[in-house]
Amino acid sequence: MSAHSVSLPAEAASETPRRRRNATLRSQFTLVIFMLAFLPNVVLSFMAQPNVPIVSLIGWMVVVGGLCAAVGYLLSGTLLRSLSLLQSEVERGDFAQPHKDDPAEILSLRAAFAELLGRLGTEQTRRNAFIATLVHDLKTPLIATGHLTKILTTLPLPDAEKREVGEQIQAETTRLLALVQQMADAHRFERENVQVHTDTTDLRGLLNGVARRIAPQAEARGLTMLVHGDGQADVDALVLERAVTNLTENALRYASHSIILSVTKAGVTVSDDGPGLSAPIAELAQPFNTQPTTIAGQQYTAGTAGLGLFIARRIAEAHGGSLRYDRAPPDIPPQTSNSPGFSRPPTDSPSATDTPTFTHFTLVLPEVAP
Amino acid sequence: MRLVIADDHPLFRMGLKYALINQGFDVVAEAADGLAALDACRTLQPDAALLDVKMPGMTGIEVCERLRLSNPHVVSVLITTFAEPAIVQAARAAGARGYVSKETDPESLARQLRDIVANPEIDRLPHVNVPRLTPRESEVLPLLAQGYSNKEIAKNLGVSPDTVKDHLARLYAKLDAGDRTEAVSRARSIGLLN
Repeated sequence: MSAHSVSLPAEAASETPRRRRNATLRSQFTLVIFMLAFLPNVVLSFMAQPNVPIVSLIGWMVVVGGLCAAVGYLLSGTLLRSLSLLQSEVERGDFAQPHKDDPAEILSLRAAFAELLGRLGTEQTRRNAFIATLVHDLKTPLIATGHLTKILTTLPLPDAEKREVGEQIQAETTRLLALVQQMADAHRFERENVQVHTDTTDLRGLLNGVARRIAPQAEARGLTMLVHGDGQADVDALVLERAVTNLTENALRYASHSIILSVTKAGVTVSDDGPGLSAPIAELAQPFNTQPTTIAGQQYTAGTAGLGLFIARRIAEAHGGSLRYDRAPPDIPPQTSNSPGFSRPPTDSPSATDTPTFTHFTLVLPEVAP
Repeated sequence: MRLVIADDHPLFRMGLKYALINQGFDVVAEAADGLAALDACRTLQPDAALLDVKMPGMTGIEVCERLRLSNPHVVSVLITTFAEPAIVQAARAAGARGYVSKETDPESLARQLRDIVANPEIDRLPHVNVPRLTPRESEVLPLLAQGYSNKEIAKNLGVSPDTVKDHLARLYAKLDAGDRTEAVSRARSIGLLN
């Protein structure tokens, strides 16, 4: 072994000598053409029994053999030119551009390689987003928790401050657990279908439950929440509630004044008066989308975006529906009765007077009965 | 020593504040974004500003740059989880006097902060050599990494394939690369590509 060699895993090492012995496609083609051209010559020459010395005959056969080999080599080169070109382009990583004389098989190979590269790119992007989430979304609070725990155990803080630190750590732990749960779910739902056990469910009741849980956070952000519409559908209440909660938590983050949860003929809709999505939903409702951040003119991955949307989409699909996104003014009937504790957007707020455009996420369900 | 600390993560801010107070620092203000940090520094004139690199609105590097111009006596120290050479180089260019990992324990952080503020003229940032790309080259590079052909890059940027060829030649030269695979790999290793 040379000084530059590296140790290979057992399987790879055992493969290496065999790979070295492998003939190239061109040499195999050359051999086939040579045999096809040379063997009939040999047979015919000996069958014709020419009246020449055996040495001359053998000399002639050698010349014919040489010519057949040369023809075989040249012909195989011509036949395999496109493939050889593709091979060198793949090695250089520049194979997307087809050539005019590419046969159909080479065009298919180019397309397949390009698709494979695209998929690899997607996987790499997801891995980057996953690692960025670990580094930025999980590591920072964990470091902070370490600092604060040390402070709590070593410093004589006043009770009020101790309580504040404890509450912050608890809130952060809850947030991190939710994030880890989302990451685990996104990974699971990427590989397998969401399991649902459907039963006739009061969708309005389901939305009221979500709104009640989210209400304190909405209030803290100064947002109004409204629930309207009625309907029943065969759904897995717990699983669907999960999707509605994900969408509502997103709305909570981006809404300016109002969040509306509605039961419609199409399904269940979560609306907010936030800025809407930055990219098409088909692009964002994917597991482990990168959340780019620009630092010093370069883009870096700073975490994961769209986990909640992806989970909501998969839940809708498991119910035989889909996740729909659109931007339009809210469609609230005048006789809407609010759930206890929730109200319509205030009339003096811009959202009520200017009928702003809302972002609507609809978990489309196959059938909603009134 | 009077400090302003800026980080968009409330728990990290709180942890850092208590840790530094415990080490004898006077944390005069906390900021959740770059703009608030800049305002606090201009108003309160602290000895140093401990700035997160990634913050909403304005990055810590941008705050450094503005402070260097308007309040040069405020010593800017970046605290981050990013270690990409391109970011370190940008931090030095912006006038940061320190570049500290968020993992640094409070005692070590306090020691480093005191050293930096006592002798801000000493260059403590790691030396890296990252080529400066033109805006166009910065646009070409990610497309190259996505496996686009010259023609596709040209279409994407609305330029001719020959122009793309020229950009690529310059990129290869700057990145000391022989082909596109090598260029992408080198760009990734120095943090020009994610």
